[in-house]
Amino acid sequence: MNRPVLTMEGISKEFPGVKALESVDFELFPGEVHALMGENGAGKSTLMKILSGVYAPTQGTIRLKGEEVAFRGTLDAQRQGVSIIHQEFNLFSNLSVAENIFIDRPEMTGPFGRIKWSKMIEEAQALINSIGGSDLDVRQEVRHLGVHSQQVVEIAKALSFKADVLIMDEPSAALPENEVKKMFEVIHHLRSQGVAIVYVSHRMKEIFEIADKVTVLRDGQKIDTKSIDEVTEQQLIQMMVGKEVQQLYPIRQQPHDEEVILKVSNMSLDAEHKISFELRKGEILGLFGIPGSGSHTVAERLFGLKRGTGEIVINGKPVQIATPRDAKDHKLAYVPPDRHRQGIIKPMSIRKNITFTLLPSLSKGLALNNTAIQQVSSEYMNKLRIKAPHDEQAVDYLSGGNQQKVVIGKWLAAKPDILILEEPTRGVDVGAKAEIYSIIHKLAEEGLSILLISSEMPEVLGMSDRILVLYKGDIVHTFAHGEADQEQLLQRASHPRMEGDVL
Amino acid sequence: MRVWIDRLPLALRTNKLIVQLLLLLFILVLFSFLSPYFLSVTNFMNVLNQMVEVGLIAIPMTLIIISGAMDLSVGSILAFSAVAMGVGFENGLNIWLCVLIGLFTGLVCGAINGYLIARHRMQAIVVTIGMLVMLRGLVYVMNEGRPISGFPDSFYFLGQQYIAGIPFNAIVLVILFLIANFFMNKTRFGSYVYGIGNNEEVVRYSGISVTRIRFILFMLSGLFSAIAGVFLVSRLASAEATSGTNIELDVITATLIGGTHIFGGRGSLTGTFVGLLIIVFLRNGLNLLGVSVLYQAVILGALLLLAVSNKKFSGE
Repeated sequence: MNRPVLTMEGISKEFPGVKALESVDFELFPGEVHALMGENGAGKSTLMKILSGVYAPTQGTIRLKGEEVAFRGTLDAQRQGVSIIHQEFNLFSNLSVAENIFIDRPEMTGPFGRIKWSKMIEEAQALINSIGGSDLDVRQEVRHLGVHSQQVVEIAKALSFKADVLIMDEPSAALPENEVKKMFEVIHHLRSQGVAIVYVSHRMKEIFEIADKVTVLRDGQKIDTKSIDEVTEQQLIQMMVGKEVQQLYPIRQQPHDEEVILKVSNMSLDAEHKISFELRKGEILGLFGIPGSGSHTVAERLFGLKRGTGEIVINGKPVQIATPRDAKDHKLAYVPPDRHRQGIIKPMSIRKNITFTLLPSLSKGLALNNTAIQQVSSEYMNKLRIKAPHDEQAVDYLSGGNQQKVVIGKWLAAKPDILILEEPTRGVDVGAKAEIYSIIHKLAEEGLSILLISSEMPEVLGMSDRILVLYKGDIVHTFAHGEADQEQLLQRASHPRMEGDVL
Repeated sequence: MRVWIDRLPLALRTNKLIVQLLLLLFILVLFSFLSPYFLSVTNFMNVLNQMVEVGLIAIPMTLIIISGAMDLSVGSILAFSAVAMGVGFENGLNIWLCVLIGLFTGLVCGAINGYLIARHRMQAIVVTIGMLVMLRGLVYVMNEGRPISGFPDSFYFLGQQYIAGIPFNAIVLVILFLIANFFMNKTRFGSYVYGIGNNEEVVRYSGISVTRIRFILFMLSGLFSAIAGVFLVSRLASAEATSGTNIELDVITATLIGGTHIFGGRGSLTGTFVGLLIIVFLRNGLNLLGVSVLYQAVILGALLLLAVSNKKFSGE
């Protein structure tokens, strides 16, 4: 057979304190679609970043068409024939398609930096046509294009560097179902032209539809590379998940109440999708979905950050939640997924942050009651064991885990009945993780009702009393605690309708 | 050592206020030597009397800039309210009723700003430039550019009377500064304003209405601009269509020299007050020395650049 276009040998990458990749080998042949799979933190993105020139490996060699290369950045990698298309597109929405494809290219400019428009437009159109996008006019501004067309532009841009290797990171995440098909056609096209494609995705269905080979990473190591015909979905998941994780999760001492505290009926996530579910008092209800499933929208809708239709009943009373303020008034609390952007005000003190949501109740007349503020702040600082010299320390200087505890504390201080936790342990170390889990556990035992939205399977499986599986805006399955393992969960989340299902 | 520093107010701890006070002191000493007329009670009281309009508007402007926005329409609102008051008076209404009309006019203008910016999330700079141009035009339309005068003596009390040797309007200014300072430092309103300036999203996610706070801020700005308009008419005994032209530049300069961060999140009314004193005494001193207004502008601009760059160098 033909020779590999790209060979990576013994690639290791170390960050201070972490070994992200350990001696990974990877081979890529022209005209193949090679899926790269692994759980969050398995090393996929590190490997991709090395491949596309963002990071240099600590050890190991990369050979491109037989020659050893060392990329000095993404532009260098592109020039040598390796391009990457990120999940988030990097397009200038106010520039035309042609300009986006050929931005800042010496071959497109004449004397005094004059742009050779006709050449640019002609070549851009040729490129777009070559990947089957002939209905796209390259003179259009990108902001007028749909998501699929934007992706085509990204692909054309990558190919304009004469890419031999194209890395696609979760390319279907942003696309609606019907456009995924179109993208596959483009990929088939590229394959027939001999481009090698690295396809990164969580979605099993797609992998089996489009990939020729699959490589699985776990904990920074390569588990195996298989031809797609040799493996089943089950085996792939097994490879990704590996052995069971040790006991991070506390075990429930007493069952929660049967009393329903929150009842959601026909709550719209978007124009087409509505969900209904119930949360019981003291229950930890897990909500799991892969990217694009709409799990974040569930939180936004419940907390009044996004409007829509549907009925929400809390403690037997129908309520209207149009703003986060309404949500707060109805004793809902929301620990958002991105603490830097949504959770903490960094230059402010721990004290200010913790008490921020409840200043009205901590005021004496107009003036803030500093004694009460101090009390609440130190109460939750102790309760959550936030490590800082004093509570007037700016949260900016705290570790990720402690910052996250501040966000949790800020909402516990509001004494909610229902707590929505989204990605409560994102970007915190294992020690803090265990602490946060034990806090969540304790809260539930004390009768707080918790909706746990997370993309981390072990977390959802370990913590939840019940798990709702969300797939593209629909709840497709409900698991009881201990009923599912990671394989089953992932299978449901990425491949909704199974044989024998009664829906 | 540490403990001693920790006990100082925040502004002092970060040293900004000390720098500003030193600058003020430097200006006072310098002009005392350069001009024989500078260092006198009469002159100082005069200066205080004249700084009131800029000072009044600087109060809401400081809050708005701390919240990460900007209001450029203040000068036009000032004139619009002043002339609205004057027109009412010309039509035979009681002067104090006219004052209320003026204040209400300012409040409504501020509410329009607030509605567009807070509710419809339009850019504050764009909206207030629109209002700046539009209201200035309306002022001329309303009274064909004619100055209005002949107000009753009782009305001149506001801008011209001295109590125990101190101008009445300056006393009002100081009281309003103290009240605003109380709100910013001792009530939740202040926390929210600083919060919005630092991270609006977090405030929203905390279940606090950012819309409402922004709306209040722009209403306050309209109201204070109108108060400034009333005091200006009283002080100059005339309501003119050109009143308050470019006053926003003085206001913003004072605020920035006072250490408020142009992108929001940081700043203080105390700083603004000192910034205000710096620019008025500098102006006054230069006036006494006979320096032309044009050169004064150059010096003031340079001072602003210096104040901002100083922040850069000290690693802010």
